[in-house]
Parts: sequence; C-alpha cells; structure tokens
Amino acid sequence: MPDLELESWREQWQADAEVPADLRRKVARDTRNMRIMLALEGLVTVTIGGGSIVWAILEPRAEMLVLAAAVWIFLAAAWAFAVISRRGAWGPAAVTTADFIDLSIRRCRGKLTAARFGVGLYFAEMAFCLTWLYRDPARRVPGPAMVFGVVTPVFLIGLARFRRNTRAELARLQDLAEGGAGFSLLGRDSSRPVPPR
Amino acid sequence: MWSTAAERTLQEIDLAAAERVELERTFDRLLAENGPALTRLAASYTNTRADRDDLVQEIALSIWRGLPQFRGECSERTFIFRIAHNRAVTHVTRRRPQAAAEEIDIPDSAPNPEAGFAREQQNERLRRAVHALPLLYRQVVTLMLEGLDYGEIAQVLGLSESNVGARLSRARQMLRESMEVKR
Repeated sequence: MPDLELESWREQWQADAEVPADLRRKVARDTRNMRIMLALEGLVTVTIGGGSIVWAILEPRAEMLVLAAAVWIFLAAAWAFAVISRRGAWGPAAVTTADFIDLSIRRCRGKLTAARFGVGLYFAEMAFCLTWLYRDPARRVPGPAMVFGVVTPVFLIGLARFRRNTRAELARLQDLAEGGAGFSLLGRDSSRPVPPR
Repeated sequence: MWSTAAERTLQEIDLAAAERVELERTFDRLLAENGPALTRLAASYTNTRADRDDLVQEIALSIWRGLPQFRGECSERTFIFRIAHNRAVTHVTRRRPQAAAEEIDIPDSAPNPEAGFAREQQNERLRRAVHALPLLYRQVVTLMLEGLDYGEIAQVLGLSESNVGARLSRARQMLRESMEVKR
C-alpha cells in the first residue's frame, strides 16, 4: 500500500522553493532606498532643526523661538510617523516568497500612507510658514508665496504620479499573493556548487 | 634504458591525466545529478544562505577528495549522502550559535509564481518542521525525503535498518505534530 503521507512530503520537500531573484532584488533595492531616505531625513533634521536653533540663539526673539519650536514639532511629527510606519518593514519575517511579497505589500501600503501624511504635513508647514512670515508687515513680500505657488503644484503632481505607480505595484503584488499572474518572478539563482579543482 | 624510464614516466603522466579527466567527469555528473538534493540537505543544517552555500562547497570539496577512494562498495547516491551528512554534522558542531535565523532558506531552483501560494506555504511548513527536528531525527528524515530507502539510510548513517525504522517512526510523528501546530 503506498505511503501517501510520505509521498506528499517528498513531493513538497523536493519542490522548488527559491525566492525569485527579481523579488529578492526588488526587496533589497527597496531596503536600500529606505536607508537612503533615513539618512536624508537625518540630514534634514540636523540642517533645518539645527539651523533653527542656531538662528534662535543668534536672534533670541520670541518669533524666532516660535519658529524653532514649530520646526521641531514638524520634525518630531515626521520622525514619529517614519518610525511607526517603518516598524516591521525592514526585512521579511523569513526568506520565503510569501514573506517577501507580504513585506513588499506592507511597504507599498506604507508608501501610500506616507504620501497622505506627506500632503498633510506639507500643507501644515506651508500654512505655518506663510502665517509666520506675513504676520509681520515688514516681511510681506511676494517671494515666499510665489515659491510655494511653484513648488506646491510640482509637489502634488509628483505625489500623484508616485501614488499611481505605488497603487499599480500594490495591485500586482496582491494579485500575485492571491496566486494570480501578472508579476514577473522568473529569476533563477544557481545553487550549483563550484567544482573544486 | 634512459628512454624506457622516460617513456614509463610519460605513460604514468598520461594515465594520471586520463584518470583525473575521468574523475572530473564523474564529479561533474554527480553534482549535476545531486546538486539540488545536496543544497536542500545543506539548507536543513544551516540558517543562512551564505552558510548553506559554504556547506555545499565543503560537501563538494569532500566529494572531490573522496572520489578517488570510491570503489563502488555502495551506490553513488549512498556515497554522496554519506559524505554530505558527515560534512553537515561537522559543520553543525563547529558552527557558532546563531542569534536568529534571519535567512532560513532551503532554495533549490526558481518557483512558478502561478502555482499558488497554498502549496508553497505547505512546502515551507514542512521545511521549517524538518529544520526544527533534533539532529538525530533530521538526518534520517532528510534522507527519507530525498527518496533513500531504509537500507541506504542505514548505510549512509552507519546504523542498523531497525534503528533507522525506529528513528523514522519517531521523526515522522514529530513532523506531524510540528506541522499540525503550525497549521
């Protein structure tokens, strides 16, 4: 009588199980980008946060203190969001295709949430900056408003494109996670040992 | 007299070269036939891809070194797995304890993404369950899963067939329980 359990296990054991090379590469690339973003965020914090403090020290007026405090509140909000949204997104739980895809899906969702948070933060910062600047009649020059007038549409267009691409990627990953087609994962790593000579 | 000695030396060199070519051919064939199985076996003893690849290389090197002594007393498969298991056990015993299995990995070749993840999850569950078995049982289970019969497993591990049977029975029970828990 055939041992069905053993046959089934043998089949499973000898089945292909490699995490596809292109999925590995994609996850590695995303991880690298996350590290770069983290470094940039650190740089921004040091430059703008540090700059605002230095400025407040050099010109110890109430409005400079308000500016420095606001800058640090925005930075703290951004950091809190960044830390929370990246929690558990640095690497897969295990090196299996399912875990790699799950990680990629979580990262995509994180990016979409970050895009929404980014819009909110941007408009909050813009509102604060313009209010802070134009509260003083001496600073009521058109320059800052014009800068925001140019930067805002560019930012929103870039963000819309980013969201569209991320959503498309998320749809492909979800399709794949459900067992459907539509995502090329046919990379192949050679596991063959190099013959010792 | 000198020419005879020189001819003999040349003949010996030719013979050695021919033997080496034959050995290389056999080695390549054995690796081609058993490469995936050796990789799976190495993966069941290691936690990271790099560690697995190191072990596969060590196994390949041991096979290369052992090949000239192989006289066909057992099947090639038994010979290969015996070397692989000895290497793997040595590797496990001298390995530093690892903090976490950050890269548990039993790769073989590329998957078919259309095949569905349910099956892959089952495969992964089995691999994890095997990986979690005590060494004593992991040895017999990996050989059983590679399709070796009791006699071959006994030859590879230097055990009696009845001992293999007992270990397999216990190992299968542990596998069942482990996979049931993870379900």
